[in-house]
Amino acid sequence: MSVEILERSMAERRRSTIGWCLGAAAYTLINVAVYPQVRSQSGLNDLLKEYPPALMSMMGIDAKTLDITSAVGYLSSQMNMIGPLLLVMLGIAFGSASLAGEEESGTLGMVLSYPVSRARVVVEKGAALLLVVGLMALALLTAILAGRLFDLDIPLSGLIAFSGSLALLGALFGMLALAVGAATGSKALGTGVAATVAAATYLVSSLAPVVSGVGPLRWASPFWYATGNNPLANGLAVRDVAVLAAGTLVLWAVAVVAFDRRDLRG
Amino acid sequence: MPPAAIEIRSLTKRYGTVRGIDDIDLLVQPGEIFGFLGPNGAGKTTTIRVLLDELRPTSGRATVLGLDSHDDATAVHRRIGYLPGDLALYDRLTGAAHLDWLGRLRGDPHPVDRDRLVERFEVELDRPIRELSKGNRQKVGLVQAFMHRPELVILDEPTSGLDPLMQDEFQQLLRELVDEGRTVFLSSHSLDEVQHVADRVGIIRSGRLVTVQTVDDLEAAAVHRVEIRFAEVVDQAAFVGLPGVRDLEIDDDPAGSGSRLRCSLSGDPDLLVKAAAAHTVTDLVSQHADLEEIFLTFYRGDSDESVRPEAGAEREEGLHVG
Repeated sequence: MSVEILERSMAERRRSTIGWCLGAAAYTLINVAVYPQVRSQSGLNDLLKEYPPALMSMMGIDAKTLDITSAVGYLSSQMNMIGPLLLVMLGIAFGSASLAGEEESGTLGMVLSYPVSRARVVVEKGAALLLVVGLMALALLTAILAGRLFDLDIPLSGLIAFSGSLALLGALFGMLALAVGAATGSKALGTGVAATVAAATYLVSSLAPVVSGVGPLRWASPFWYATGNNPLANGLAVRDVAVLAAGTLVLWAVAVVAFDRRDLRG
Repeated sequence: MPPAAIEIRSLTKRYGTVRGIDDIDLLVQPGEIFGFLGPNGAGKTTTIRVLLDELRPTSGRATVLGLDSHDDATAVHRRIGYLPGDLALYDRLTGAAHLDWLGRLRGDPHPVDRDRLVERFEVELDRPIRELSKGNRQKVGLVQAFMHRPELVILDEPTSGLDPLMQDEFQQLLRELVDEGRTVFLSSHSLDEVQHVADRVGIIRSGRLVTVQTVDDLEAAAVHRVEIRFAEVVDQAAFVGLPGVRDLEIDDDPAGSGSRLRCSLSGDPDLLVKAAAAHTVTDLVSQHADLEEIFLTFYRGDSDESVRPEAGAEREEGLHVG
């Protein structure tokens, strides 16, 4: 099987992908490196209990049940908001640039004048997206694993569940950006729609536990499936993985169909 | 008999508010160089983009090498070469890496004519595309369109940015191509690019195909620019209404004391000469208007004397010169 388009997509954004991965890994490393100091601050838990629950919830922390000085508790407090954010941003940037971005710059027109079907283009662009978010999740996982040097002992199962859930989130929103770009040919629209949906569903998911009335909406938020049950502590349910993966696949298929039906921009 | 290289039937494509093409019929035979001429915005690129399946027709259809441009797009693309008008390449790749990649994308990592073409057009292979001048990028585009020895090449404004030497080389290449029985569809807004190589030209204006003629016929129908000087002052009335005479102008001869007559003449000069012979003629010059001028009359759409000014906007196709 030839994968020239996937290969080129990855190469076109090689530098920015490496930059994102290194940056995320560095941020995570700094956080895990200061864990020994945090662990010794026994008063922290009492302090956090004074914080408004809504604020804690926005940051992905359930202050009532979490021991912030424990390894899992500390890492959740540091990563449950920023981790999904990083992956979702990377996914959206890649998803909108790799198809609609190349259509706008004109290189896609050249590619499609070769014996290459439109479906193959979208399939390979989607595969490149999965690879890129997978790499980023792997970078985070590696950085967290390095926490063992700093007494930050996270069970491997929690670690894999956490980075896996982030990869799934990044893939889902990246595929949304790709699909909107495939349907419209507009990179800005792809980025804009996906980012708006991400922000709205993040709010829903994080407010659901504390704001009555929002709770019933949480089933519609990818964040609820991915991080709602704190995968670092509790792992990832099969249902949650299935929902996120199915959503990604559906968007991928929508992108293939939508791209095949319309005029190419030019 | 092999299928037509390109067959376009009742093709209409509307999009946006003004652009598009309207009911185009066109047949390009295998082994010919077909020039597709028209001003910018006339619909040349729209037509080509339908052939390439970038655009889907509003109505009508096109076949390329006997295959449907949409249903069999991948099969069509396997057999053709294409140079787009607004060539976009991956900026960071070097010319060599880009040609490598395109070869693999085609499933043909070692295209037969690649090295020959690179040498012939002196293509800059070692620098990233973004550092190349427009002409040098265009050369990379040319090589990729020809390197796999396609049966048909579709070229949209191919020589833009090329220096005159390379333009000659390019025209030579096209002639070699058709000598081997291959076909060239050459779109351009400039007659110069086309007239020395094309066998036939189609002229498109405002989305409609105005005429399809051989270059020879087009030249034969060319008007003459006539200038006659007289020793004495002559009366305009003697020349008005002579068949074939247009744009008649009589003024004082700047070089003498008599009159100077200038006009365009299509067809037989006999009556004009006889009318002039009633006076003392001191000088007579008749020049073949160049093709550019004919071409411009098609663009303006005023080559047909019977066309009324009010019909200008919605003029029917089928205009002819002479």
